[in-house]
Amino acid sequence: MESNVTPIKFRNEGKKYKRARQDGGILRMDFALFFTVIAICLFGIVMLFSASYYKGISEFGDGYHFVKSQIEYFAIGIVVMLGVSFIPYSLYRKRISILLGYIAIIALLILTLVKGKTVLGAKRWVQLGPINMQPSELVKFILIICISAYMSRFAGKMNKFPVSILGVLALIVLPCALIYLQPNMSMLIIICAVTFLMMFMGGAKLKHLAILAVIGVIGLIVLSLAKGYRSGRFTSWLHPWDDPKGSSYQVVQSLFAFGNGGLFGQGLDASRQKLLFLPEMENDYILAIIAEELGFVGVLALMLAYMFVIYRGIRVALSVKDRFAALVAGGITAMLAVQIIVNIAVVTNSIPATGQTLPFISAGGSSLVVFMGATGILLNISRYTEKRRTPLFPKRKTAADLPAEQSA
Amino acid sequence: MPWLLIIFAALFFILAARVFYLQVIDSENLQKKALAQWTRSTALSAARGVITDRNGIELAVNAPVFKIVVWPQSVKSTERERVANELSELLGVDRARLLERLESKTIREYVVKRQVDRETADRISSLQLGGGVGIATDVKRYYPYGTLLSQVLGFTNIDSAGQSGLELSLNKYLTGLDGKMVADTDRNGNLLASSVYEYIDPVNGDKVRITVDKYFQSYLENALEEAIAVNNAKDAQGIIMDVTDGSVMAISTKPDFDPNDPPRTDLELLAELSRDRVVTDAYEPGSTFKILTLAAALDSGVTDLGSGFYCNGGYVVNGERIKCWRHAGHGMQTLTEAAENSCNVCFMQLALSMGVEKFYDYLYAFGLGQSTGSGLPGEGEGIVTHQKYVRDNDLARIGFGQSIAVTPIQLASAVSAAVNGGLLYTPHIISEIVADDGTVVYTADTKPVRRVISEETSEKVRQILESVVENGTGRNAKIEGYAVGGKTGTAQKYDEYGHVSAGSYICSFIGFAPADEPKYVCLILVDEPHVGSVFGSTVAAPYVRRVLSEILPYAGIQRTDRNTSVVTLPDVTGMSMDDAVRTLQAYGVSAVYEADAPVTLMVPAAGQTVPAGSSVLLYTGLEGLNTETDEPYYVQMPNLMGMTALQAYDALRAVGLTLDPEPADPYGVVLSQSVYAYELVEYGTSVKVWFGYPTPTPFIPTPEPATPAPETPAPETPAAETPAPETPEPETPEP
Repeated sequence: MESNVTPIKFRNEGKKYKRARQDGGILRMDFALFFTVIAICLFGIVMLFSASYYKGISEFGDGYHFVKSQIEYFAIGIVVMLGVSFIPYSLYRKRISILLGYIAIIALLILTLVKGKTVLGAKRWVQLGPINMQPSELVKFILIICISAYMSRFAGKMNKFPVSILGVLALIVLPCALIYLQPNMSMLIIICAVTFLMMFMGGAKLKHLAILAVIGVIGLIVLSLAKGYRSGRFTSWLHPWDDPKGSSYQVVQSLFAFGNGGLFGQGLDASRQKLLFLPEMENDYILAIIAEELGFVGVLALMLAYMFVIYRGIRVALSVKDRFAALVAGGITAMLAVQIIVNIAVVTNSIPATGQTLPFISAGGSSLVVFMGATGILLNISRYTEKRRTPLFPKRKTAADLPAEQSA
Repeated sequence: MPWLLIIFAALFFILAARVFYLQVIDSENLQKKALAQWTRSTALSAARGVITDRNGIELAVNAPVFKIVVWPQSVKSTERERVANELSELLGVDRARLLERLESKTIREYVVKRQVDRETADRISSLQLGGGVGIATDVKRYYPYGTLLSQVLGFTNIDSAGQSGLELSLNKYLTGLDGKMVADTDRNGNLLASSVYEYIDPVNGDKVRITVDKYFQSYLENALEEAIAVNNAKDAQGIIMDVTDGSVMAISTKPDFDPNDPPRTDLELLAELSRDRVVTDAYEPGSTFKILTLAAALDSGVTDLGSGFYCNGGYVVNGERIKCWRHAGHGMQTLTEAAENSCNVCFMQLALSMGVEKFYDYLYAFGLGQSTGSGLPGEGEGIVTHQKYVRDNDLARIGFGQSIAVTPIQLASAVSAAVNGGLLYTPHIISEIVADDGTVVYTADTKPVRRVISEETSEKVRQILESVVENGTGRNAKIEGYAVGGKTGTAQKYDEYGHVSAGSYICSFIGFAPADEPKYVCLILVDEPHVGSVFGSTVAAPYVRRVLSEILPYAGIQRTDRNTSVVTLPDVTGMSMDDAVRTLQAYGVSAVYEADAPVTLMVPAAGQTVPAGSSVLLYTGLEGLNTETDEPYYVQMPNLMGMTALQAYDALRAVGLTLDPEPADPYGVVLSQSVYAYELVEYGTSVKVWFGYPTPTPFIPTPEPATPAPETPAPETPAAETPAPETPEPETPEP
């Protein structure tokens, strides 16, 4: 199924390559994407305020505790997003950038393991000067850039197993090992999932991907059984009502929130579950509070907004002529989508519990700023898109997949 | 890459469907399950009813106390150690156990300790242990006067449920009905602002007013405690009743316990201490019972004030000679004198002349042999032998208070009827029960049960009993300014096999005042006093006197001041006995003492006023035996069987008895003795001993001592009934 190889120009394509790299200027930026993300962030701040006010009062004596820092990070996030959108993406492709970026994330991950703060049995946070961050949030995006660079460099050999599968795996194995040591399983799974999707986007053969998928699923099961607490998560996923006060507490509380929301919700600020019943109501489980207060209608609206962001992201990837840019845009979008899907699936008990934030909404600076920064990269790439819109589903699927200019 | 979009869209669709299922289809089910955790149903404790004395003084109340609660999830993990340390230190709970609870993820609420006083609660709140430590109100039954009336009041468990006494028997009145409040809370159980949506008011328990007067009770308990201490007694019991309506003014058994902190760990001890023996335990009343015989005899007409009685130290009934406590006899005496002397012979004759049927009619009419219906928990019935089985010797004994057992409250109630004009009232302690809203739930029935004796008879009984205190054995109960009537009693106790128990007596005195128009009757029993002179007149009467002299002025009863000659007692403690006796004589009072040693204690105490001519008890450090006095002292009869005359003589002499051999010129060895071995016999008694050669068929008419016949023993020991000596002055021998 080489047909899935995205219509991207290769580096040595001469004039057309140069033209494809033409910066369309700020006005060429995907404003629909930009404003949707800003809107989701603002909506998130409102919902975060509603969800976290009671917890803030009871734990910190300040109802604005969570929302204040979220607004600060949001402000930083806007600056980062706009700033990044002005950095030409080609900068990331330079060998020196890739090298520095890779070394930086390895260093950060090692630093986390050495000097990190242990929270709930895992070392995920590290203090860097004034910033307290989760390096793995950054790692996942830098890895996307590294993989994109690798795959665009070896675009012609992507149908070979050692190149498409083993090469990419070699890139991620060290960071993944370090994340495994933290441990941060959910991050590991998301990185693996996104890597898998990028292999697919990069043009790896489906047969190879299937082999990898089988190995991956087996590996996942083995890893899960190896650690008791994660197999416990399987039990509480399948039988949440067996121990609603113990291991299934969080997910049961989340289901209560959904149930209480109904079709139209209890109304803004009318959540009962946020009265400390639902732990992490400002963080991983904020969607449950949104569901309780705004109902199915509210959740559906949010999901549509996310879907629109994903659509715009993929549209950018499809519209950009540069293979590297397309892979970066596709990778970032995939990362966003995977994380949204995992979060919603967890809070609705559709998959076993794993800690993933809801992008742009959950409290937490690292996540917000990094996602907004990633959006900045998407926005920058969107400035290089063709004026003429590429059809989402080209009529012909074989050689004709390639844009008209090439075949002309 | 478009495929990617399709995959994402598909997953979004599936998740949206899942959300739709949860929020729309399964919504109701989930909401129902969630509802239980959002609300908290709090029991609103109904206040337990207060118990007050007759004047409204609160005897059992509810103290505001607190309980310390922790919500483990709300205690910050960094604070756990500190919370555990501080709480375990202040509350005395196990630190490790508390820490374990704090670290639990499943416990929502844990009560660390209940019934914590305000001071401790304040100290905990000042420690600022954070939102995870709460102080909630709790209830505790509190008895402001500690041990006062403890057996009657009883005590409650930690949940304020009655466990004994009135707290138990009136539990359903006192408890009330808890209300409840259903309110919205957060996960930690904190109430949300203005969210109460269901509120059921608690109904407080009924208020119980009892007939006891707190001051009467204090006076009685103080007297009992002192009676125990001074007489080195096992315990003491007392009751004061209002003779005009049967209400119990004070009732106590000492030792008792503090219901605020009952010895819950020692259940046997607690059961023993919480038994109100005044109503539960029957005893052989001894001479105090003579009041009833007297009343019955006068009312039935078998005797009158003019009758004369002759006492030669004993009376033969059915061939058995039952001794008077004074072996020498009282000689010729009027009825009043016989009562003053507490002469057993006279009362035997009275009982016999009435006959079983008539006497028993009176006994039952006085309420003996059945529970008085006082409403006090665990009331006993006493023991009255059925009249079918009563032989004349038993009847004679009942006449002076033996072979019958009564509870102290029965005796007090019966004596009340004898002196109050002849009407029997039901003794009662519950005056009224009033509900929280003011409705009267219960009122005591103060109507008389029946007339037992006529007004005139009662008048005569009063006169005679006043004379007993004025001139007779009850002299130690005399109070200046008030006419007091009363009767002493000394009874032997029986061991568990029904045998007379060596050295165990119950000394009692029952007195009433004013003698001409009685208002209060007071009975005090001192159980197993261990002093030299063991008589109702010396052991119990002074305390009845003390109680009456305190309650009469308090109750506003007018003094009559018939006896104007009063003496304020000098302090003779520390003096030698000779000096003390001389000093007291100079004041016009006499002394009762056992040993010739420096005085360590005097009863009544120095500074008290007593009528001239009364006696003062003088105690010394060593209470030796003074055989010179007239008071009987009992020794154990040795086993003489098989001894020669000389050996028997020595054996008897060793314990202070004399030998009366039969035949007068003894030969052979002892075949039989008039007193069984190991029985108690009065010091100095001459014991008849039969001698002869042991043969298979002895010709001696008395039964073989080896096989004692329980029904017709040899002349019984006089120790069984030992009323007070007719005169309190030991120096004066028999008149």
